[in-house]
Amino acid sequence: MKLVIDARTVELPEGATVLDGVNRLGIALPQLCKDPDRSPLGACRTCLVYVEGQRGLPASCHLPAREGMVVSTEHPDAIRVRKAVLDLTSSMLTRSEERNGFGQLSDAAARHGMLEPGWAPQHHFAVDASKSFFVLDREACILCGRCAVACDDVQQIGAIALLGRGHATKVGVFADGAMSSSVCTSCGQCVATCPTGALRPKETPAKIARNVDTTCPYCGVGCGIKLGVRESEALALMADDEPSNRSSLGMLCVKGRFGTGFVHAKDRITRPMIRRERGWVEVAWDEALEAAAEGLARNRGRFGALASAKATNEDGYLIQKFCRLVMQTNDVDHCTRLCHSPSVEAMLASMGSGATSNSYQDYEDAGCLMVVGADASSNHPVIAIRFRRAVSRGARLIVINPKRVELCDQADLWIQPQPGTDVPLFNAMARVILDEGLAAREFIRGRTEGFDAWRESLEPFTLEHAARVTGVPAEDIAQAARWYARPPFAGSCLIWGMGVTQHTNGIHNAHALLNLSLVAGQMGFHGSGISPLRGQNNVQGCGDAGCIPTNLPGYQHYVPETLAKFATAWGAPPPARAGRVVTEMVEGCLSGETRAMYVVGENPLLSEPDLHHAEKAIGQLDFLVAQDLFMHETAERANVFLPAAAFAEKEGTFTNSERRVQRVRQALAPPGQAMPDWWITSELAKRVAKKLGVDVSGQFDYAGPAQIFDEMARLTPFLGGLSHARLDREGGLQWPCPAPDHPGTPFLYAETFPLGRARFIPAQETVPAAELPDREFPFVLNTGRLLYHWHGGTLTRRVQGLLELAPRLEVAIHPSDARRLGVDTGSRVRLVSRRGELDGYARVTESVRAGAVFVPFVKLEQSAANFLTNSASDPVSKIPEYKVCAVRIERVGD
Amino acid sequence: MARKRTSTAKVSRKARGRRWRSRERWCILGSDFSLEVEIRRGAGGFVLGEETALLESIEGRRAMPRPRPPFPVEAGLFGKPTVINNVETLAAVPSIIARGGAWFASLGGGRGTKLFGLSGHLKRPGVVEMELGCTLRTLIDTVGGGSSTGRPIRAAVVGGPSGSIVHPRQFDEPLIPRGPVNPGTGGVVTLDDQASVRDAVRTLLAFNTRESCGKCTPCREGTARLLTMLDGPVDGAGVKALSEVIQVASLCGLGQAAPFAVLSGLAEFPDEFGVS
Repeated sequence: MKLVIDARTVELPEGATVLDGVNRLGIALPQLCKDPDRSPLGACRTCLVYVEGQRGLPASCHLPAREGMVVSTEHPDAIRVRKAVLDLTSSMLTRSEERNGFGQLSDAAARHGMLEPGWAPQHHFAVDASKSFFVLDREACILCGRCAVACDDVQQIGAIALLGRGHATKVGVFADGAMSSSVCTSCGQCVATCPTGALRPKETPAKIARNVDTTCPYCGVGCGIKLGVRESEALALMADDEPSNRSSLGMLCVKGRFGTGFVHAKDRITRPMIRRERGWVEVAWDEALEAAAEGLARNRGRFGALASAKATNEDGYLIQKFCRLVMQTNDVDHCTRLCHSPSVEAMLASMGSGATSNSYQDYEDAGCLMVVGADASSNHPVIAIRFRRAVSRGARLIVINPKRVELCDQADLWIQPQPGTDVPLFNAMARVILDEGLAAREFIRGRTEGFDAWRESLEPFTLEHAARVTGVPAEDIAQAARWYARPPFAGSCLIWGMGVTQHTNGIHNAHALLNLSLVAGQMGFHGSGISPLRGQNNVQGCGDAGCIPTNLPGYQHYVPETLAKFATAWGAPPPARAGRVVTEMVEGCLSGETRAMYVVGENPLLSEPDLHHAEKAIGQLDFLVAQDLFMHETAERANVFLPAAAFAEKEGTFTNSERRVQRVRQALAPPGQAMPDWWITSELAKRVAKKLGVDVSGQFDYAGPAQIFDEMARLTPFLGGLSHARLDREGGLQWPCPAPDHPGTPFLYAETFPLGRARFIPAQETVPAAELPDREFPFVLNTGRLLYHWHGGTLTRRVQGLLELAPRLEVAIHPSDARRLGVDTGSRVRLVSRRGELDGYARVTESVRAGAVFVPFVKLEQSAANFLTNSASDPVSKIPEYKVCAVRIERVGD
Repeated sequence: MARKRTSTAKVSRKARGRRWRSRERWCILGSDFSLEVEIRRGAGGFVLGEETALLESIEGRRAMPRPRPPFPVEAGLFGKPTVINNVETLAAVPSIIARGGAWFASLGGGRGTKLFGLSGHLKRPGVVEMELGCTLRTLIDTVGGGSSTGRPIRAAVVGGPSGSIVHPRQFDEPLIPRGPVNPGTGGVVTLDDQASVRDAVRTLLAFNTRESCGKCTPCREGTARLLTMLDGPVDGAGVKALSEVIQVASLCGLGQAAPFAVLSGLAEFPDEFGVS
C-alpha cells in the first residue's frame, strides 16, 4: 500500500505501521520506547503524528498504515505537543559530567532546538554500579520500559522490571536491592536496548570507527555479534547483538556481550618463540617454523595433532590436510573426544549423521522438551531462552539431571537419577512407551530396523528395576515417557549434554537416548528432534572439517572411492586406517607411540582428566608445537610457540550446534606478528613436506580462507552448496546444503535417514561408573561448568568483569554433609581423590544430593577439578568419565 | 460489592438446583445454552477502568494499558477476541431481556438510563437510576433533597476524578454523553459555597497523579507537574498548555481525562485560582 508522509510517497507491506513508513523514508522522528526489533510499547509518546481526517495526534508506532493515508510529522500541532512531551521527558533527567548525554533523547531534543528542560528533576538516585560490566543510572532513565521487555519477554529471565506505580515508578530488581543481588546474568539485553544510556557499559565512551558482523567465539549456540572497533583499534567493551541472525535472534549471553576483550589481554603472545635452555626466546617466523617443522618431521609415524574447536572450519581443514597429506597419519583429533564423541558415534551408527537433527526454533515450538544431563542456562544460555519461551507457550519441560540446574525452576518434572544409571532409566521409559501403546508404530515399521532385537533387550528393564537402580519414583519415569511420546502439541525435542556422554558407559547412554527417540518417532518434523548440544563455537565444524581420526572430512569413510577422491584433489590419498583419538595419543606419550604433537588452540593440560597423569605424559614428548593466543599450561611445555590470530582478527566460518555455517569476519589486525592459523599451518606443512620429501606443490598455497572453504566444500557433499560469497549474501545456512540453489536444511530425517532406515542399537547396562565412592573417598564428584567462565577459563579469566562475577572456585555441598563436615558457605575446603587435590570454597546448597559434590572445571587460584578426575574412559568412544569419581572432603583451617 | 453480589447470585443459583457452569445436563434456565463464569478480583487501581490495563492485570502482569490497535474485540484477553462491559451495562441486561429493547430505547430520549452516585452537601445522598437527559437541578434538588448545610450549592463535580467542575448556570442542561454537561461515570459531588473549588480540583488531580499507572510520560510526568503548578500563583496559560498536551498525548483515558477538572475549574471559577 502507498502512503504520503511529509509530502513523500512510501510503499509499505500489509501489517506495517505508520512509523515503519516514517523510518523507511529516513525521517528523523523520535521513537524513544520503540526497540527496532520488538512490538511497540506506546509509552514514550514522542512519535506522535498528524493524520489528515483523524482527530488528535496518534502515536505512529502503533498506528496501522492504510492505503492513501496522508501523514505529517511536521504539522504545527504535532511539533508543539512533541516538544512538550520531550520537555517533560528531559525534565526527568539530571545532567552531569559522568553522563555522556542521553542518547536518543538528546538527539531528539537537539533536533527540535530544545536546550534546557522546563523543570528540575523530581527524583534523585545513586548510580547502581554493583554489576561488573554495566551500570544502572536511574537519573538518566525515562521509564520507557524497554529494559523490562528485554529481560522478561526476550531473555525470559525477569531480573529487572518497573517497580512501583505512577510517579514513583523506577526501574529495579526484586526487593529493590542492588542489581548484583538479583538473578541478572549480565546478558546485556537491557543495556543494548536502553535509548538514553541509563543502562550503559562501564567504559569511557569513545567513537566507534567501524562495526563488524561476526560470530561469537564462545559456545556452540553460535550467536551473531557485532563488534564495535574504536578509533584506538580496540574492541568496545560491549558487543552488539544481531537481530537478523537466525540462530540467536538478537540475543546474547554475558560472554558474547561483554567477554570479547580477551583478545587484548596484556599477556597475549604476539611473536613466535622457541624454548631454549635459558627459557623462551622470541624469534622470526622463519626460524620458528623451521624449528617446528624439524621437530615434527623427525617424529613422523609417532605424531599426533590436536586441532582447535575454537578455530575456524578453514583452519581445521588445513590441520587435517597437513596430518593426512604431509605427516601421512590419521592421528588428528580435537576436544569432541572429551565431549560429544559418544553422541556423534551413536548417531552415525544409528542414523548415519552426526549432528543435531533439528533447529533451535524447534525447541521454541515443541510441545515437550526433555533435557538430559545438560545445564543450558550456564552453557548454552541463548538456547535456554528458547526452552523458557517454549514453557511460556505451554510446552512440558522434563529435566533429567542428578544435580539441580536452573532449568528445574521452570520444569514440570525433575528426574534426579543416581549418576551412571541412565541406561536403565531410558530403557524403562522405552518400555512404558511400548507397554502403554504410545509407540510410533508407523514410523517404526516404515523407517527403522532392528526393532525386534532391541525390544528383546529391554526385557530386564522394568519400571521397578529402573526405580530401584536410579532412585527415581516409578511414576515419574512413566510420566516423563508419556509426555515425551505424546506431547500436548507439536512434537518432542530430546536434548542432551555432558551428563549423558562423559561416562565410561557414554556410548550406551547415547544409544539408549536415541532408541527412545526412535520408538516415539519424535524426529523428522517441525517441533521435534534430537540434539546433542555442542559445546565449543566450532566443535561441530571441526568434526565436519575432518579433524577426527575415525573419519575423513564430512564424516566420509576410509573406503576406496573416497580415498581416491581425496587423492585426486590432494595429489596423494590419506592413509586408509582410522587413527588414534586424543586420549590414546596422550597415553601414547608414555609408551613412546607418540613422540611429537602439534596442538592448536587447545589446552589439554587443563581439559584432560587426571591432570597429574596428563602432565607426566606430555612431559615425555620429544617435541611439542603449540599454536595459540596465550602461554597456557600446555604451551609452557612446548618447544615452539606459534602466535595465532584470535577470532576477531581473521576471516573464516564457524558451524554451530544447529548445523548453521556462519561467517567469522576480521575486525582487527592481529597484534604484533600473530598470524591466522590457516597461514601458520600452511607454512608448517610446506616446510615439513620439504623435509620429508613429500610433494605438496600448490596444495598449501591459498589466496585466503574463502579459497580453503571452496576446496573443503568440493570434497564435502553436505557443504557443496556453500561458499563465503553465498554466506555473505544470504547469512548463515544449515547443512546439508549440497547445491548452490539448495536453501539449507532446518531439520533432518523428514523422509529418510542417511543409512536408509534408522537402527535400534541395544544399550547395555554396565556398572554405573569406573570409580564409585568407598570408605576412603566417600563422595561422588560431579564436574561441569559455569555461566561466567568458559570451560577451563583460559579466555574468560582474562576478562576482568567475568573474573569479578566468578572469582573463586566453589564446591557445591549438600547441607547435611556440610553440617557433618562442619563447613558453611564460604569455608575453605580441600577435595582429594586418588589422583590429586583441589582447594576451593564451600557453597552449601540442596542442588546436589547428599553424598555428592559438584565443582566446575575452570581453573581459579591454581585449583582445577581435573586434577581429581578419572581418566577411565568409554571403551568405544574413548571419552573420559569426567562426571563420576570418588573424593573425600577436608576442611581447611580458617 | 459487585463481587459479593455476583458470588451470592452464583451460590443461590446452585442452591436452587440450577447450575451456571456447563456440564452435560446443566443448562441455564432449562435452555440449551450454558457457560462458565469465573470471578477474578483486582486490587482496585483506578487505571483498571482502562480495559486493556484490566486485561493485563487478569493475565498476571502490571496493570498498564496496551497500545491500541489491536482492540480487544480482535485480540484481547490472552490474545483472544474479547468483549468487555462494566457492571452497570450488564445490570441493565435482565430488564432489557424481560421488557424488550424498544422499552429501554423509549427511555432517556433513546439513550436509556444511567446510575448516578449523589454525594457531597446533599440531604439525600445515594445511588439513583435516572433516564439520561435529566438535569443536575433534578438530581440535586428533587432527588437529592437540596443542600444539607443550608448554604447554597456553588458547584458540582460531575464524573468523578475524570470529570468536570460544573457551575450552577449549567444545572439545567440535560445530562447526555458528549453534550454540554457530560454525565461521565455518573458521579455527582455537590459543593456548597463554603467549599473550596480549588481544593476540590487539586484533590481530583492528585488522585489522578497517584493512580497514574506510570507507563506513559505525558500522564506520569504531566499530571505531577500540573499538580505543582496549582501550588502558589497559577499560570493560567501554562496550565492550559500542559493540560492540552496531557489530554492529547496520553496513552489512555486516565491521562486524557485527568486535566478536565483543572480546565473546567479554571474556566468556571477563575477567581479561586487567581486568574482572570
